[in-house]
Amino acid sequence: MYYPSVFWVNSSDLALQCVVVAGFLSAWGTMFGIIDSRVTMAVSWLCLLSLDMPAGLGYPWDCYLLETTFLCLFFPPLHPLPIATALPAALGLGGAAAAAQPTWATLLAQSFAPGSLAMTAVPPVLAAFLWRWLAFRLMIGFGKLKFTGTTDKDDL
Amino acid sequence: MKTSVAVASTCVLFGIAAVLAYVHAEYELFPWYEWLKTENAALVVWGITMRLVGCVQVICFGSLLRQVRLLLFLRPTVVMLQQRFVADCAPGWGTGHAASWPATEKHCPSELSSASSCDVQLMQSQCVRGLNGILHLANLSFTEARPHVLSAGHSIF
Repeated sequence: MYYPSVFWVNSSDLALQCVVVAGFLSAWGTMFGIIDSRVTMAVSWLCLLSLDMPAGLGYPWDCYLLETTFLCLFFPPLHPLPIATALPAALGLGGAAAAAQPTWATLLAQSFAPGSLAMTAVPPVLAAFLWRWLAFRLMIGFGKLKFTGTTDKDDL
Repeated sequence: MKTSVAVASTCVLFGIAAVLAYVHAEYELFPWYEWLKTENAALVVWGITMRLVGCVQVICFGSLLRQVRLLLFLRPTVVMLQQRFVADCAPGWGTGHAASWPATEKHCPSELSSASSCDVQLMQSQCVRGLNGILHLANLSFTEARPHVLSAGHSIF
């Protein structure tokens, strides 16, 4: 395969499954802020890039997701959600601290509080600009296609 | 016509934005707008945005995970059908000489034909369509020829 991919190293069935599972877990990690989100985004980006050509991720939203993930590499990390930090204790891995855990409803409410969802710092100016530029291209591109169609046969 | 519609709709959008800006400036109907300009709001918006990206990734990888499991499950069937197709329907398939398929003498597998005298051309086209459908589903990647397919830069799904 010509394009960069971790399948250069190994293209077995197991490797194929491992790449997808790694991407899946890192995406969950990003959502919950369990690990530094730059690390999880890097893993996700590497997995997406590896699967881009082999899996035929050629639709516009696939390309946008790949580009978006790459831009997120330069963003500050996210706060871990309370529901994620409480998970080890809830699973019995936290020892005596598990008894003092709040209820799931409380954790859920805390997790959806604006302060919990926030980023730890403001993104760099260039990364923020490129993100907005990406959003602009997305909106203007799809908006244009609504009027012009995607092929010559479209008569909208 | 298309251009005029695009220009008109853009003008309408800008008009709505102008009206909203005027109403906001005149009556201050959107108090949250002031909060939206603070750094705290920026942190929240960026945080939610990045978590939404993670959510989309979960959906994307979840879909890929299902595809991989399905395709690994289907691979033996695909290989079997491919071998039968090449043997029974199109001896030249896969060799770059599809145009030289026999037009009159080869017959498709009996279970694919309801008639005793098989219309070869029709059955060949049915075979091609059927196999293409299966290969489109399983995408040829999980055959034994995967290294070759990968090296050719084709899709493995």
